[in-house]
Amino acid sequence: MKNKQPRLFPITRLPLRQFLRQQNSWRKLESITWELNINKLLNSCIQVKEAQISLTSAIPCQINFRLDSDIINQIEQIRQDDNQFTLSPINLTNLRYYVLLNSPLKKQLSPICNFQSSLIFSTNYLYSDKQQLVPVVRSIINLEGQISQQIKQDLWQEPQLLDKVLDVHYWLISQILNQLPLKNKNFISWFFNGLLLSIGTVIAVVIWYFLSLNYLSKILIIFAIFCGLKVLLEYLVKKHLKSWIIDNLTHGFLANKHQKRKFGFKILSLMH
Amino acid sequence: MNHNLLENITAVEISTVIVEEIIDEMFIPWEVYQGIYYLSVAYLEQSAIDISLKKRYLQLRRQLELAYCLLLIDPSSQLYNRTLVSEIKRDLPVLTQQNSEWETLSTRLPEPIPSRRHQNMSAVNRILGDPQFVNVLRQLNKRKTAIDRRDRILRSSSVKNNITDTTYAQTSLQLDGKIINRYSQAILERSDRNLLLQLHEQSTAAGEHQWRGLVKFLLSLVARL
Repeated sequence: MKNKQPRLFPITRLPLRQFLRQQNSWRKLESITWELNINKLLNSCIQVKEAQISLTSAIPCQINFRLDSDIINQIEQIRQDDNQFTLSPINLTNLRYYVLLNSPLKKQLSPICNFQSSLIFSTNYLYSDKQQLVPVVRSIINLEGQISQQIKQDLWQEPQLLDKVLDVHYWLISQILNQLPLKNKNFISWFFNGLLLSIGTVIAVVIWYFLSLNYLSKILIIFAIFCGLKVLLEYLVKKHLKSWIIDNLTHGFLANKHQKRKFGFKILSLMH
Repeated sequence: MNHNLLENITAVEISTVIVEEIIDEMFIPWEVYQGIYYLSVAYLEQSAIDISLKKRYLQLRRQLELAYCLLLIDPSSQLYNRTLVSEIKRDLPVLTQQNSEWETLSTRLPEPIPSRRHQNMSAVNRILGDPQFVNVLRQLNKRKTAIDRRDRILRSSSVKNNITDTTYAQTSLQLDGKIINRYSQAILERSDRNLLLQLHEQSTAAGEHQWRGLVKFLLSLVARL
């Protein structure tokens, strides 16, 4: 090996390894930017139509997908590349709230408030020769099991466009539904365990210092209290706290503003 | 809470419809109540409704009356009226049969528009405020809309086998494993029958997937710790 100097790449005058690393990070940056753009595009297509029910609060009543031929082509490209897209936090909270509001869950918790209607996902297409968006496909899903798929006659008469629009419509819905369920990243119920530990520690400290028994009995008592506390908290949180939060999310103090709804779902996911 | 979630679901039904125009349908309880209340043999004879559908309209009226009577005798309902229980129990066998003389019984439902002086809308408002009654109205409305659409098609369309605005195919996936496919007779003779069936197959697969996704989300809300 005569030449001990690292081989320099002519244009950048950097060693080859460094150049390749830079290229990789550039590619990563490009793919991240590309993903961000996809996310931005797709999230902007999803419109959560809201109905004003009082001066201060609005509830979602329909989900519209605003598409035109360009967006459809881009989405086809995205699907071919097997890319996923992530719902923005606003859309995610609104969609979760929309489903919760129309679900049979509400019936159990508040028999007075029996309003329940179907979920509506509608694709509004912008034809090149028209100015306005026209609803062409609609999926009406009733959470008691009745699903109706409606297709506009004009779209039915254009088979190629029909295929494309239907594929995109169903794909968007399935992408949304995949992201709706509450997930707890760490599989540990932080909320529950945190509560258990804090209350348990306080009681343990009290018993340790204020009870005058021998060490073994103290340890046994603390252990028994911990077990009892775990069962009690499980019962309380499962039966009452969760239903209380869901109740408030649907029509209580957590229902009015977007931030409060987001907070409510966050708490529920911590209890998951 | 888990078993309550799936209490009312016995089957998942997926229907496919090709519509002339997709419109947002608004449900106004009084409007539906008024539309069904005035259905009677005399009214239907005067109207231009297609003969084959007259019976179906009458059934809607009968079911409205039946649902109201059941609520009147249900102690857990807001509309419970103890004094009418024995009378209604006598009339129930007649009301529950489709071909009986239920029309000869005097109606217990309040009139949508009070015809007598000094009468106000309080009775109507009271029943329209009951959630269970409104639920019944909602379901009857769905069926009435379908019958109305069918009537419009039968009266106006000159094209045979026109399936616009009717559910031309329906697949029912039941909890016990049965799968029932129902098709409208009109599609059998159409030239684009295969395409229609393909469309329905696609919408069934998508519908089933959508429903599963939604149930998964609801279960994630109430799942155990």
